[in-house]
Amino acid sequence: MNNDVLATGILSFVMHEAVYFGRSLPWIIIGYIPYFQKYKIQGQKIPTAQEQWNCAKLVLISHFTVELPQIWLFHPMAKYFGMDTGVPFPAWTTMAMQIAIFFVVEDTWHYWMHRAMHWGPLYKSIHKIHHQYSAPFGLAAEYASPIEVMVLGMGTVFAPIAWVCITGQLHILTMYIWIVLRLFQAIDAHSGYEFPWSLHHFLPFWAGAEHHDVHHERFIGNYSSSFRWWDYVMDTESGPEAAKARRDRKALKEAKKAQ
Amino acid sequence: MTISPHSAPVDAGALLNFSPKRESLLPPGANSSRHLKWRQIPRHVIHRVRLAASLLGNRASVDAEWCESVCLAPPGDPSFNIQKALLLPNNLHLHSPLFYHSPSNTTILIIGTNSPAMSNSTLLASPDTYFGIYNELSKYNVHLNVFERLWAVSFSLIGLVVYRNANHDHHRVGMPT
Repeated sequence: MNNDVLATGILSFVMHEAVYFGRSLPWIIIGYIPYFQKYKIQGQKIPTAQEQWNCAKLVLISHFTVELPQIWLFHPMAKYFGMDTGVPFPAWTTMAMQIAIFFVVEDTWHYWMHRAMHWGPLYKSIHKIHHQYSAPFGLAAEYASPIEVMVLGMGTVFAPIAWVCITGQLHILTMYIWIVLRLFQAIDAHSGYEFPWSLHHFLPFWAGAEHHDVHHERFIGNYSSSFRWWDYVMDTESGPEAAKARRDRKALKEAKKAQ
Repeated sequence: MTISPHSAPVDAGALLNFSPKRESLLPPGANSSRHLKWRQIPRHVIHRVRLAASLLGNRASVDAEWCESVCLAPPGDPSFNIQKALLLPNNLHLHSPLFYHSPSNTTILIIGTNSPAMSNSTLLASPDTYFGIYNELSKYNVHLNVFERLWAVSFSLIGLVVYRNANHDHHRVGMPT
């Protein structure tokens, strides 16, 4: 094969599908193991096999119609701006630093776009599909309107493109690792399971399933993808604890006013 | 299409199949054979000539000068010392002083050759399989780890290295005269 766009397009898309469904598979299996039931956040809502199959079908359609073109276009665009495909690879510290930046940028993009999607007209016409499952599961991470997949996917794809455009430094391996980690993050956040060993217990600002499950349950707040800081700063945290904190703050404010 | 005076007595000229579209991008008055970009050699030609030297590295470029030296220079040509180039991968100026902006991390990957012009060179191995190429590449690229070698072989097989090199020729700092 002597067509780099074709080669990397196929390679990237196959990798995306393998990671997406490969990462979703353990969550499907866990759903059938009673031991893990105690870790299910919304324990009473277990997705049926039919629901998961229906979800997988729409996800596949979305992957082929929306994500495939994005993946296909990424390589020539990134090459144009100087993405590297050669050896030796960049230092792992370089890759880690770049991926951390992509996470922060994507999280910011996701927060604001996702929050916008909850504005009435956009919610009804676009985002409602993603909220079909109030108790999400791994496969449902990309169960969404094609428009939503495209808009939110821009945060994942254009962060590295902007980076390489500005700095001229990006290796395609860094991009692949970033995509894999981003997929893991999205699928795990939709898994519906909260474990004692979940990442946010060690990284308090990491969102994880606990954070996103509340969003699906309550349909409001917790708009971020990877981190918790935007919801904290913008006071859009969701859940009973956040509601109580909000009430307390309001009461304190009123008490001060009364004094 | 003619090749430089260093050309070996092989039908390399016939093998080098220039793309008219690409050729038209050459500077006015440029000798196209001297400004041949790596990518302009179709992959099958690389296989036939068994030229499998690729230049990898950020913003590197390859053009006719180096290409001719590597794949077509006759044995004993004093200007051609591929073994030295291999051992000193950053010393591209040995062979191509005119057109290289050679970054410090430039790496030369030699995969093999069976060109008649190279038959007496140190690169007699002509691997045909993936791991044959890997082994050959490993001999001359000891600074690469296993993953980098696998990556380099895979990408060179699908022509991505070729693509990358050809698309950074704007970093060239001089032209052959």
